[in-house]
Amino acid sequence: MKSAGRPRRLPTAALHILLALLPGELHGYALMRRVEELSDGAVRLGPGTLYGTIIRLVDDGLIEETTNRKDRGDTERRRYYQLTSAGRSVALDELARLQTLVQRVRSGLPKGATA
Amino acid sequence: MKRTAVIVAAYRGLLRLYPRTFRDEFGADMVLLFREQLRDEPIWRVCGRGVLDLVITIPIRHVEVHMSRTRTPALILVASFAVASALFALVEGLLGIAVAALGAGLAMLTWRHERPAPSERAAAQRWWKLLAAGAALLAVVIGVATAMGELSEPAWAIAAVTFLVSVSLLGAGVILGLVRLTDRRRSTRIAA
Repeated sequence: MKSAGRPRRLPTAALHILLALLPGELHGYALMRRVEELSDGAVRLGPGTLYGTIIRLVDDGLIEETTNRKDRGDTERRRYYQLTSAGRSVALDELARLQTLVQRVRSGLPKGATA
Repeated sequence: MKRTAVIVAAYRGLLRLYPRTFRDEFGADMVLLFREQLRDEPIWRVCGRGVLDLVITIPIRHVEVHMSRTRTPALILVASFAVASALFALVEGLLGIAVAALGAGLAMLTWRHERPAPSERAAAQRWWKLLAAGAALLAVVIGVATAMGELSEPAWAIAAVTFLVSVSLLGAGVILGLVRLTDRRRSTRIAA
């Protein structure tokens, strides 16, 4: 695993995965659905894209596989992922950046324009 | 239910086109995820997205594996060039399909005015042959990839090209099938 350094710019899929994991751990399919739901269907990750992004985020130290799989009642073997502290920090930074962007754009809109 | 099992088996076979390290790590999870998608969404949508995902991500995963094995600048350059070429080819291919579809549409519109009996259109009648050829090629790719396990580099390249050709044939078959269906409806309307 590489050191948990902050990447310069997160690709769309990685950004959405980090934001989707903010409330807590998720398994692959739930993560895919959550990203779709968060983006109103604009970002749809296929299995290859999802796990390709996950492996990069794990390598970057932003997410990790959880080990506490007890009492979930899953009949199939699933792997759950959660943010590391570095990942949470990156996700919150990105969230703040997006909120600032929205606020600035809104403040520059003419009166009567709706977003 | 049986149809879903066949599709999942085909998907599992196509996962063999990924590098072994990636497949060993995530193959089982990807199959499980794909099965859950099939449970919750229409089959055609899941299959369409799944094929597109495979076409885009298989070359990328291979390039990533090469780049992680050796990080010499020359190889990174070659790998980047390969990715750029693949993406360019993909975009070119999609543009080509779009232009061809537009041309075919315009030709069909012209033809429709000239020929009152569109049901005799020969090309559209061959849709099932393209579909069958595409399905057969896809079955061969899946079968060979499953039988061989880990594919060597030349075998992987051949399998990837064959996979793309089979997908193109399937797409062409579906489009011509739709044209044929439209023709038949039109012929029925004219007859009535």
